[in-house]
Amino acid sequence: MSTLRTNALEGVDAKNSMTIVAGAGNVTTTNVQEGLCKGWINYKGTSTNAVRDSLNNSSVTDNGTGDYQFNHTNNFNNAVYSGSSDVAETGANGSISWFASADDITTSDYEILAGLVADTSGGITARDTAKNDVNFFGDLA
Amino acid sequence: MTPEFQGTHLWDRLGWAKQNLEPYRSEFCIVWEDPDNLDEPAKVTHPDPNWMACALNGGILPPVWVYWELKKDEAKPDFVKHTRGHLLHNTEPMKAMTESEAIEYLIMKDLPEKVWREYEKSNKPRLVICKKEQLPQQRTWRNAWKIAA
Repeated sequence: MSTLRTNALEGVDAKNSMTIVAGAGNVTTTNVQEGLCKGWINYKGTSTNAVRDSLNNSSVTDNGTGDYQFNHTNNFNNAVYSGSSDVAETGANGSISWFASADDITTSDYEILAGLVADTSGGITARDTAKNDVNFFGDLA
Repeated sequence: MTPEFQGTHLWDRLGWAKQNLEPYRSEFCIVWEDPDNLDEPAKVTHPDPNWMACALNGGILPPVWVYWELKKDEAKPDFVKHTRGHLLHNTEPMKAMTESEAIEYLIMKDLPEKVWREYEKSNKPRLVICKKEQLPQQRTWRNAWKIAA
């Protein structure tokens, strides 16, 4: 096996877009640009809120209990990009499960509602969460 | 040494900043209220440390009017996708800002215009820049937070 060493790869037809051809018969392709995560954040929503680390995020607005809005530095091209989130509260007991739902999405920000679902009643309650990991995929402006 | 970034995609600049700049954790935050929804709790906007590093370094972020232009486009009823994204990448980047200038920029970027435009003319404060330590340390009554008159 040989090793390719380089500092930069560039597409021929489009500078920022490349396709990797793989698989039997070269029938499987991966568009590198389309598959990249375009933003992420690790955020603490309890106590005095804090951004632990991030990429492509300018600020976070704490709108209220469990209601967090992540503002992008590089806008997305349209408002139908995808965000996925994982939220939890440190030390949460096993009788509850956590949810995070996208609430409001524009090309410049993404808002989630975090909270918990009680096993017994099935009720949903907004809650501040210490762990909010959010990733964004889609086309950038 | 920051490369000459005008014409470089903003995404690539953010990647460079992530690898080369130390995050700057501002002690300040912005507390604000929506003048059209006065029953809602006060909102608190926290600057991102990686974004602050870009603002203080200079040569990375586009001028704030670029974001206003994109917002105008998105507000049009027939908006499907941005056609002027090039403004983010081709406009001359901002020079290095002070921390207070960066916070002002962030207010005009991430808060609704109705909040910061002529905010000093309202009969009740709708926008306050304060230290995080001035916020309540307990969030038990978070949805009752308001800006004191």
